[in-house]
Amino acid sequence: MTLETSVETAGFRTAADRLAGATDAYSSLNKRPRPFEELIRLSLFFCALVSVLTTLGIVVVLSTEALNFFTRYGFRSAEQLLIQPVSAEDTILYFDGKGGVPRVGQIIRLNEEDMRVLRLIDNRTFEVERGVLGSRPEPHRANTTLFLGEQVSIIEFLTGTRWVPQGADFGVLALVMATLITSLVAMLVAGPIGLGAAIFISEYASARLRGILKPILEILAAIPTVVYGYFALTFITPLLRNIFWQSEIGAYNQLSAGLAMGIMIIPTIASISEDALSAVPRSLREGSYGLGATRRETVFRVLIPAALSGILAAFILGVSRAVGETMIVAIASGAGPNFSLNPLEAAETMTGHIARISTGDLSFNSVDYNSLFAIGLTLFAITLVLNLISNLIRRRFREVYQ
Amino acid sequence: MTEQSLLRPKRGALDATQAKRGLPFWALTLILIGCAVLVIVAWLLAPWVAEDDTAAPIGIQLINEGATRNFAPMWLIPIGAFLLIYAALPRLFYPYLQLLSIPFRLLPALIGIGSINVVRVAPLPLKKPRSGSGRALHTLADVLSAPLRLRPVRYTPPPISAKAARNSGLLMLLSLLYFWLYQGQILPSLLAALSALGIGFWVVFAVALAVINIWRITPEEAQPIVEEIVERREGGLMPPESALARTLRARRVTASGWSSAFFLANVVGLVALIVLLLNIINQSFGYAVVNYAIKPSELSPDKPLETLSEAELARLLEDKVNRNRLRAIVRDNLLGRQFSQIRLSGAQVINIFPERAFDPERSDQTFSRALGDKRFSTLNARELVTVFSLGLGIPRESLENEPISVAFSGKAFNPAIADKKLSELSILEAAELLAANAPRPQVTVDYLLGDPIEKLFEGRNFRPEVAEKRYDELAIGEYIDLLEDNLDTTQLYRIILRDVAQLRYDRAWTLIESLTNYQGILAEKEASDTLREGDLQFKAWLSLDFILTELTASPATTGLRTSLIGSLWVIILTILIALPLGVGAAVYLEEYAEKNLLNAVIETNIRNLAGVPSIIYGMLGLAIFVRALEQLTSGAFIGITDSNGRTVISAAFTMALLILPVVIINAQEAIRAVPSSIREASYGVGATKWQTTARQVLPAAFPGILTGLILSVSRAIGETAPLLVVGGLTFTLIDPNGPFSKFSVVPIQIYSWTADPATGFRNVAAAAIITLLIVLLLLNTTAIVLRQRLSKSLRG
Repeated sequence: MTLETSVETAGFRTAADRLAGATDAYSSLNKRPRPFEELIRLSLFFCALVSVLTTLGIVVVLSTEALNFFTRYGFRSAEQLLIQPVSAEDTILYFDGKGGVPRVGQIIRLNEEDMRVLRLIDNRTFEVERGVLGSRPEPHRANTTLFLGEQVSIIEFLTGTRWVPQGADFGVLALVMATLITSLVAMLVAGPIGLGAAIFISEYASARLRGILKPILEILAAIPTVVYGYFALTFITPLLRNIFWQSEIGAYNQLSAGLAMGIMIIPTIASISEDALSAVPRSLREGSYGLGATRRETVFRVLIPAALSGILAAFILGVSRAVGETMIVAIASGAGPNFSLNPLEAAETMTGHIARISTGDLSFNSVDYNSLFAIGLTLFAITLVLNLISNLIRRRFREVYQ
Repeated sequence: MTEQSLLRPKRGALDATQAKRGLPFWALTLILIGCAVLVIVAWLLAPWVAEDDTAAPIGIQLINEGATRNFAPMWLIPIGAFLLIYAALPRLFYPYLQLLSIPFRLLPALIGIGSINVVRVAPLPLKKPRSGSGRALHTLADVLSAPLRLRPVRYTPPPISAKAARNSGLLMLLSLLYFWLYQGQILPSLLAALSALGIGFWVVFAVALAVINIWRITPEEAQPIVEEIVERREGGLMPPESALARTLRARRVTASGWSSAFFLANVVGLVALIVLLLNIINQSFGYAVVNYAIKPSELSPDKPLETLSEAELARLLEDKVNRNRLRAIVRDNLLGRQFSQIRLSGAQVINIFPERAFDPERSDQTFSRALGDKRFSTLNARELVTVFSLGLGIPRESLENEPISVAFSGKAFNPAIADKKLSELSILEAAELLAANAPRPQVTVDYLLGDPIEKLFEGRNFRPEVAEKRYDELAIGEYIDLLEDNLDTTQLYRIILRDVAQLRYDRAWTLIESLTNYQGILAEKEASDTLREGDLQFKAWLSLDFILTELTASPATTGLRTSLIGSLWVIILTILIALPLGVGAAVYLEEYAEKNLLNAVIETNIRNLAGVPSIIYGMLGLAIFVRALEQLTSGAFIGITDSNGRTVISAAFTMALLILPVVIINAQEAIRAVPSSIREASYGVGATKWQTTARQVLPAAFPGILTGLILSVSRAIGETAPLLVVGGLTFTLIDPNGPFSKFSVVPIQIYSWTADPATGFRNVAAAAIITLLIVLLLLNTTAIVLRQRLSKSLRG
């Protein structure tokens, strides 16, 4: 009896145990907490986040430093002298009235001290608030020169055509114009040649020829830009001077920089346009040939319209590369901003200016340092707009084939 | 290319996807051959034996053995180039040959026989192998042995096609243009041809199209034709056969014109590449006039300069160089040309009291310009009084007449000098006095007088007896001791060559000028007074010596080592930073990320980042790594003090951010290409997500990831602008030795050399470019080989 019971119990227990085991096994199929896996996941997520942080970093850095640029004061002599000495407490200043007069609210400077003009009593007598912008009120002797503080306004920055930091002239157009001219020359070279190369590779070349031409274009793309700069300076410029313009062309000029840049951009335009052309389905080509069209007619009337979005995107990408290209223009286009429409003249582009100014030990918080970021922001904005346009065009002109 | 092949399916249309995968094997062979050619050229042109520096390299000597000592007359070059291209691309010249053969074809027709004897190249009696490398070798052998296989054969000329005639006319025109432009300058005319092809051709085409459009019939003119067509159609009649044929011919003309235009677009790219490379090689070798201020034979009449021992070289320095020059030599070679003058010889008066800078309005309160520019250590007693009285606001009379204890009552001074007058103090005591009372804490004795030797030469060798001395107090012998203790014999030899003998190049010619115009070079040398004194020698600007020598300020002695090491440091650190981050991000996006807004933003963002100009990254690096994180990037947190944020590590971080998008995109593609069956199988045997990723997916995706990495690294090696902004130096003498040292990289050197108009720098830049291009070629080749090997093993 006892034995049986025990056996039964044992049997029962075994079954129960099994059942319990099964339930255990079942419950173990549920998601178990895996802290290590979570940790991995988090750290991988952080890796992916770095790129977002980079973008944020670029935007934040460029805008804060550019903001510093637009809010800092540059001081220009007003050609006025103090006629009465002032103590540290006086708030009324008497000048000789021979030079420029500040506006109400403008910052003026005497020696080391900054003041804000509160009231103009007459053209030579001002009431001021002493010791603003972190300076300390101190006494000043007669015949101290008056300096007027001015901020660079955004309007002035965007519309001015002179860039002379020493003279407090910050017109970014002087730099933008050079960028535009070099990019334009580059696109005149790279646009037709790049597109022509793409059409040839994708439509005309045999597989064997394509196997030769594509790597050659890739090699062109792999050459460092400083080498193109060298090419522009030591080859294209002398060539232009020897053949076309003996005397009109300087040792540094925008044309040769633009030409070298054009050669550099050819592969960019060619490879993207070629991708776009290859993506056009074969049925379209066959249809066109079936109607008796020649290859040229097929290319111009069928393929290019069908691949237009990709081709335009390639062109815009080319422009954005040209705008952002630095070393070619830094080497071949010359130093010193110059607002000129003549591509035979030397002029400094935005990127060239940044590269030249930042070479060596640039001291932080100087006008130069801050102005670099204002230019950088402009450059970033231009390339961003170009990228956006490229995306827009891609969406607007996209022909969807299955 | 012809319209006849319209309906035939395009050859290779099916393997378009294959072609996308990368360079085919023959391209690799081509690259390797290219490398080999470069090496051979370098070998041929490099000085053969180092003992005789003035001798031309053996290759040039052999070539110049001829009576005129000219390698080749100018006209041989276009012909040679033509033959080479003909050998490489026979198809391109078929029309040419057809045109040239017209007389031969006319002749038989005239005399009534069908065929003539012509010379042809017999086929190579070897079977053409199928594999890539064997095939390339076969082609090479074919081209090279072609002259040996000329055989007379019976030839029946085919009829001349209209297309052939037209194309040959075009080619003729182009070559006429070429020869018209060619006026003794071969390379310029090559580029002229290039630009004529590139721009000119398109202009011509645009004009031609416009003209065709103008010639198009007007609607009024078209009206009767339309009516005729309508009439015929109604009458069941088609236009006559001849009209159709005419239209067809016109269409074919346009079509073939455009096809040549498209082909030319490619040729322009090819020509640009060739001219670019030729130009660089052209600048890297050639005759140069070498000149010395003192000839090495005068410096050491008994023995050749390069065989002298270190002690003998040191004695030479002692004899030939004055103290001032020696002082500069030691500074340039041990500390660097741009070494802080204040640390070396102390501050100028103007540095100590900047607020007292000369101002005509307040001349009684400010230092005169001359006094302001003087170094504190060189002041005499009178000037000291002026400095102390204006700087510290102590009355002049009191300083001149009263002892320190009275004049400086209430101020800090050393009791030991309390009874002396200011004029009786030694300069060291005066400096201590000023430092104790200066308004700014940075004005210390070292700031006023310069660092003592033990601080200046910290970590280098110096004799203990000079440890306390200032740099300017050293005697000639002590400067030489410093040089001897820190440099080896070769370095001393180079210093003597550069600074004592003052080796320089007065004029350098290009390779083509050297090969073709030896007489002209001789004439030019004789015509000029400065050149006549120097020796004409063949200079290989690119040599092993150049690569291994440290950077100096003169193109005659400079080298690439400093910047090569800099590049190496930056790139290695960049890889260490970018690889884990990039692969991590790619794994997250491909394996872990769910489809939500955040991940979509990350994905788009990465793609947009790839389009941001590289100089913007430089500015990011400048603001964040150089400036904001200066404590970390300068190494100050581990106690490195002689540095600011412009270090290797800042550059590496900047570069890593720059290549990150490309690394991520490539790694993503590689991971995406891993078949999901591998993942499923791994999950099936119970692996967790990370186990699957780490042990299955990543190893399988490894080749792709590696290729992407190498390609982006080769991009990074050539990148200049961001490093320039982050603070890469254009001149430094100290090899970087860690993440926190200052640095220069090869592209920055190329930039600064190119920008320097002095004779020789452009040649040096060209040599550096060749080095850089070879490194890039090797890297790219490695990437391609890896991709081929590993993808094969993965598939197998």
